[in-house]
Order: sequence, then C-alpha cells, then structure tokens
Amino acid sequence: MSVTTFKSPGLEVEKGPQSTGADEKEPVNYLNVSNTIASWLLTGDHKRIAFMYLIGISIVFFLGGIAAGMVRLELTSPKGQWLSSEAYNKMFSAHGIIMVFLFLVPGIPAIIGNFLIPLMVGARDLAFPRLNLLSFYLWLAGGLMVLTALLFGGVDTGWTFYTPYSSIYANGNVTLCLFGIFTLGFSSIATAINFIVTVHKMRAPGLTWFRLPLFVWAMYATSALAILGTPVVAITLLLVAVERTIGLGIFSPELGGDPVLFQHLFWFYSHPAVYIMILPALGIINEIIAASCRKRIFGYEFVAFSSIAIATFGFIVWGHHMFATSQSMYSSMVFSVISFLVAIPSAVKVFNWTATIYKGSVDFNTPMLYALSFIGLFTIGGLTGLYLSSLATDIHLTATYFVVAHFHYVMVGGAVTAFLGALHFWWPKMTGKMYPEFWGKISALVVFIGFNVTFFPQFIVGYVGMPRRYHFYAPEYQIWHILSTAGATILGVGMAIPVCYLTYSLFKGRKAPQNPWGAIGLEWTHAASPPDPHNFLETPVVTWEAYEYTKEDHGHGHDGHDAPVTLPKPEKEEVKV
Amino acid sequence: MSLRRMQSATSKPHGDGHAHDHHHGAPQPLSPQFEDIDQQNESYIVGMWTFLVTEIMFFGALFFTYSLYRTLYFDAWVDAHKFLDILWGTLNTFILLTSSLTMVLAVWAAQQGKKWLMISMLAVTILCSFGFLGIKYIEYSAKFEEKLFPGKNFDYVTANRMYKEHHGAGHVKGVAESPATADEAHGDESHTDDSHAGEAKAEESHSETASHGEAGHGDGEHGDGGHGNKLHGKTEIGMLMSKKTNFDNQPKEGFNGMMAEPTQAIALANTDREAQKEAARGRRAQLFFSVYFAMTGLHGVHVLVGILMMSVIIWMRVVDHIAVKDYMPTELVGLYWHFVDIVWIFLFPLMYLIS
Repeated sequence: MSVTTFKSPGLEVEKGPQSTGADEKEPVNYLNVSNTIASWLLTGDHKRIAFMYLIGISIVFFLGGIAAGMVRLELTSPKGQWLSSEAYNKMFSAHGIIMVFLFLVPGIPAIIGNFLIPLMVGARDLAFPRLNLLSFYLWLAGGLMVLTALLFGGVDTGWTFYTPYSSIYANGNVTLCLFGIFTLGFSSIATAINFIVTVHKMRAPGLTWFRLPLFVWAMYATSALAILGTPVVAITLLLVAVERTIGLGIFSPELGGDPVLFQHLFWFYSHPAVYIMILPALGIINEIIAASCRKRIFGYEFVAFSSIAIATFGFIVWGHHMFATSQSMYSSMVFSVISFLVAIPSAVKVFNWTATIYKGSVDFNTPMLYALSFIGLFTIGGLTGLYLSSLATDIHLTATYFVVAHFHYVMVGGAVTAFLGALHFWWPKMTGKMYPEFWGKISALVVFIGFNVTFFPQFIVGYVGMPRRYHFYAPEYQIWHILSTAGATILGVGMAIPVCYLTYSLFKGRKAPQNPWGAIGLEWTHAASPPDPHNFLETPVVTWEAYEYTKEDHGHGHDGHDAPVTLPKPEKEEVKV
Repeated sequence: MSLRRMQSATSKPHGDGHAHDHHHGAPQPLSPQFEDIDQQNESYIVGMWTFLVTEIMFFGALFFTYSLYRTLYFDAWVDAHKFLDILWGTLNTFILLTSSLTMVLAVWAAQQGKKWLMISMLAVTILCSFGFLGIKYIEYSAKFEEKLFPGKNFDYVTANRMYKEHHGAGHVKGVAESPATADEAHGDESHTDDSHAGEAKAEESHSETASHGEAGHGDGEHGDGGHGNKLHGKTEIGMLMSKKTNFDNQPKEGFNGMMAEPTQAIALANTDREAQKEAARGRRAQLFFSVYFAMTGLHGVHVLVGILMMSVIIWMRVVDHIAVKDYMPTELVGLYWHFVDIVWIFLFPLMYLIS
C-alpha cells in the first residue's frame, strides 16, 4: 500500500542544519529550527507548545500571586486595610480560581508533562500534535474568559462556586467565569487523552511499562483522573451557569433541587483534582531523586502502583469535604476511612524516596534541594490531612485556616516546589542553557523559609479558631496573620529570584551539555539539549531498566560538563518490538 | 532524515501493488509522529474511546442527578412526564436507530473504499439527525407553549389545564374536573402582587374566592403570572401571602366541583394539604423539566456536533481531500455517533416511560 506523508504543523520543518544559515555551528533544534511567529503559534511540536504554556502559565501564576499578596496585606489588620469586604471576597476568589484552574491543574502536565512525555517514551511527538495545540488555545481562551470575568465584575463565590450562592445570589461575572472554567476543562481533557494514547501506543521498542520513568506513570494516573473527573465538574458548572442564565433550576432548593448534590458533583472532580495537581509533582520527585542520588528508585514497582492507588482512592474520598453538611453520618464514616487509606500509597512514596536517598551519593544541586523540601512539606501537608479526614477533629477544623494551611502545604509546598524543582532540573534540556547554580540554591532556600513562615502560622491560627475567608477577625489572631504576611513577602522574593535568573540564563546562560546531571533517561541519554524538532535522530531501542545507575556512576561529578553515563549494554536482553 | 525513514515504515502493507486496495480503501496518510499505519490507527481508536469515556462521565453526572431526583420525587415525576409525547419519542428513537444502521453502512463502505456509497450513507445519517432535531424542535416548542420551560414562565397549572383540554377530562390527577373550575384553579395559582391585598380577605369570606380567582386568572393571562413568578422575584411576605390564599382557594377545584359545601374548618384543613401538595408537585415538575431540558439539550448539542463532523467528512471526501481518503475518520465519527445513539437509548425510557 502506498503511504503519503501527512503534514502536521510544526513537524514538517525538516530543513537540516545547512538551511539554518545564521548559526552554522549550532545544530538544529526545536528552538532555532524556525523563527517566525506563525511557526510558534501554529506549531504541533510538543516542546514548543510546552514552552508557550510555560510563558502563559507563568503570567497567570504571577496574577494569582498578586491576588494572594493583596489578601495577605489586607489581613495584617483585624479590620482590613483598604479593600471593601466585597473586594476582599473577590480577591480571595480570584486567587483561588486562578491558582487552581489556570495554574495548578494544567501547570505541571501542560508544561513539564508536555515537554517530557514524548521524550521519556522515545516518541517523536505526542500522538495528536494538533489536539495538543488545540488544548493550548482552549486553555488560552478559557483563561482569558476567566480573567475577564475576574477583572470586570469579579467573582465572589470562592473557587468552589457553592450553590445556591453562586446560582441565585452572587453578583458579578460568575457566568462568564463558569464558561471559562468549562473551556479550561476541555483543555485538560485534550491533554489527558493525548498523554494516555501516547503512553499506550507510542513507547519506543523495548520500553515496557515497568521500564518507564516513574514520572510517566504518575502522568498516566493523572491523565486517567482528568479523563474521569473533569467532565463531571464541567457539566456541573455548566448547570450552574445555565441556572443563572436561562433558569433551569437543577440545584435550586425552591424546586426541591439539592445544593449538596452540587457539592457532591463538584468534589467528585475537585478532590481528584487535588491529585491531578500533586501526582505529577510526585512523579517529578522520583526523577530528581534518582538522578541526584545516582540510584534506582527503591521499590520501583511499589512507587509506580502507588500512583495508580492514589488515583483510585482519590476518586472515592470526595465526601470528606462534606463532613459538615447534611451528608449522612454513615457515608461520612466510610469517606473518612477511605481518606485514611490514601495515606498508605502516599507514605509508600515518601518511604521509598527516603530509602533511595539512604546510602546514595547525594548531590545537593538546586533540583535536589527542591526535592528535599518537597518531601518534608508534603509529609506535613499529608499528615495534617489526616486530622481533617477524621470526623471529630474535622468538625472543629472545618473551614478554618487549618484547612488553608493544609492544602497550601500540599499545593504550594508540594506541587509548586516540585514544579520549581522540575523547571531547574529540565531547564538545560528545555532551553539548552544552564541556570546559575548559586542563585538556584539561594532561591530554593528562600522559597522554603518563606513558605514555612507563611503557612505554618496558619495551622496555629486555624486551630485556635480563625475561620477561613473572613475579612474581619478577632484582634488576638493578628500576630499570626502578620507573621504569615511577612512569610508571604519572603516567598514572593523567593519566587522572583528564579524568574530573574532563569530569564537571564535564557539569553546569557552557559550552554548546557546534553546530560548535565549524568542522569539516565531517554531525554538525557538520547536527545540533545535542546532536542531536535523530532526529539531523536533515530528511534531509541530500550534494553535497560529504568534508573539503571551502576556502581561506577557513584561519585561522578556532573557539574555542567558531560558526565560519563554508563549506558547499559545493548545486548543485555532481547528486544521485543 | 527521520521523516523519510518514517514514510517508508509501513509495517503491514495491505495488498500493495493493487490500485484498488479493498481492505483499507485508499492510501492512508501517515502523520510523522507515528512509526507505521497500524500504530496510527490504533492511536486514533484508543484516543476516541478515551474521549468517549469522558463523554460517559459527562452524561453520567446528569444521569446521577436524574436518578437522585427521580427517587426523591417519584410521584411528581410520574405526573410531569405525561407531558412528553411518547409517540414523538418513539419516532425519534426509531430515527436514531436507523441512523446508527446507516452509519455502520457508511463505515463499512469507507473500509471497502466505496466512495459514493459512503457519502450517500453519511448523507442519510445526516438526514436522520435533522429529522431527530426537527422532532425535538416540535417537542420543545410545544413545551414552551405549554409553559413548561423552567424559569419565570413555568406554569404547571396552565400546562395541566391545556393537557386536560387536549386529552379529555379525568385523565390527570389533581387537575380540575370541569373547564370552569380549571380556570379558577389557574387563577388561584397565578395571583400577582396586585391581587394579594384582596386575597388576604378571602380567608374570612369563602364566598369571595371565586371572584378573586377570576381576577387572578385575568392577571395570569398577561403572561407573567403563574407558578414560576411566585418562586422568583417575590418578597418573602408576598410568597407567604400567595401561599396562604392558595391554601384557601385551591380546594374549590376539588370540593366545589364534586361535593356539597363542607364545613369551613374541614375545608381549610383539607385545602391546606391539597394546595401544598399541588404547589410542591408544580415545583418538582419544574425540576423534572430542568433535568429534561438539560439532558436532552446536551444530547441535542451532541447530535449537532455529529452533523457537523459528518458534513465535514462528506465535503472533504467529495473534494478528495487526502485526510479522509482512508476509512479512519469515518470510523471515528461512527464511534461517536453510536455513543450519541446509546445516550438517547437511555434517555428515552428514563424521560418518556416513567411509571
């Protein structure tokens, strides 16, 4: 049968080194292969799309950070500073909506996952490059809708959009915001479908499931969650929007509709969404720890399956957000027990990382510093989650700053820290430039300190009774809020430092070698920095296990020069194609 | 370099050398990220199924909502579902099933490389879809006319009256027996704020209620009265008052029509219960129609998307666009279309056949 080439945007550029005239010495890579604006905006290349996501998501992260800063400044005084109470409500809602729907959910998958999954599985691209581009534009469209809604009219429902407040009473631009989130949902779904198909169908010859990097396992579990959960929240928020516009009253208490049903449907997605945010982070930590300790991850299979287990359990614990509603006591008990079970696979990961670090030759580079702080912060975040999943303590702690502190330990201390670690770890691969290691370490330290100063006081102030989302509060809580705001300032500085030096390194940075960490993984051993437009010059054939670091690897310096990587012996095993 | 390698990398060349390959139809374009045609086709199929999983969850949330409310308000839903026309529903089911058949034939024709058979089968499928949407349009506009679209204009009493007029007396539970009393009942249900002052008095003098009912009816005719109005946009006191007058007036439909004057006390007690029931049934009916319009509306949007995709395929096939020479796009749309059909297969009994 004859085969014709089907041109896909971005991938057809196959000019070869000779045609890039301007810089003869630099081999063709995905960044320099073409420079027109259209070649970026219409690209099908997963690496370019990841890069566009990186820019877009950094901007919204900055906006969400500003909203957080305003909230923190406002709370330094028990009677507020300069915002009206309504503006304050809109501010924390904006912070939550931007950070959750625009930053955390798409963040790691769309940037790091998009960039790495084809590289890690040895494919030329994701299975559906145009779908990938579509998901970026859906994200952009949804993001613009949400930002428009937040800036013009505002939304004061909090990021949870609880009915009947959101459906009947809330003023402002709630409907547009809901449509924006609906659109963002499709972006998530498109990315998730792409990842699932890529992992299933595009793995390089010999790359069996148990040879996959654990990041791929984590992303697979994440995608499964996104596939199953996102449509539910999409339709739920759509129903609220429809109730506000054309009057179908599905959650309307007047008609006998059940607002708690909204909460069930909302948390059916939004609890798994917590794992959509944290699972990719857990995957990243595996990669960083294995490369920086030069050891195979202890108990690879357990860690792989713990991702699947977290995803599975994550789907049946949503009711623990509703212990203080009309939910039946018996279902609360069941949800409580299952919530405790989530701690098991999470702990498996933490113990296995610890065991991996043990007797490894640990290199305290910037990514590893982030990874270490991740382990500590994630553990605190996870363990305080157990306080909240136990019925009795939850009644005391529901809707207090304790909850706020808990999920910020998981979301910021976990997901954002891992994201920063990943950004540093793969920065040489993504940009072909090294970041300044000194400033990297400084920023990791500042972020760690700033984060703890910000959020640890919130555990205390929540425990002693400060409710979340309150504008005015009792004066005795003020000291904790001031501490927290001071910490937020440090955290803000910590976030600003990487922005400066990473941007600087993009233009003036030292050129990165192919494998600065001496790591094992197709993206390091078989792809250039930055990679070729098609990732690999020829399809890699995998004959080795994941993270197959040998004894000789220990102690090899990898300070920016090409560390000798012991490539596994190709004859080791027959390759099944 | 890698691109050229890719191009030659077809693993299973079906019937190479034949101008008319009758299994996979035309030469299949291979996207550069894939190693070979099989990998590409499998990826498409896996991708489509994964997408259908998200669709199942999408509708799943609505089915869950449906089953919860149906369990809670079963009687009201049985009562409300009578407004859906089983004949139209059955016809639509038949049409959609036919379209599934023609879709299968289109996919088969695409696999066999029979261009015009595929195009005509897709065209028939599109015709069926338009037939489906047309019937849906007739049904929807009937609902609008009967004031059964949820929201301000929702008026269950008027709807019941109209239903009764069309289907003859004695058919409907809880609806007046004679046209005259039905009118009164409607009036009672559709008091507007203006008539409240007068109606408060109605408690004292039972005999006045009839005339008030007439007045209320007159207001209702202006179009913004009715049940929905009471639920939205009235002050709490207004709602209380209207409820009270309802309790008072409502029973006439039952008592005046069928019985001799009961004593006032019994009348009040019974009317209270009856009226509350009636009002509640109206609200639950509104909930039913909210779910009905949400689910069938979403399904209708899916039918529209299907029409769009089929039209694009037909058009691209007519101009011999390279992307659809192969059977795979038709196969994928076929998968989607069967999903849309299956959703309807569930929707039809759940909405039209409640008992």
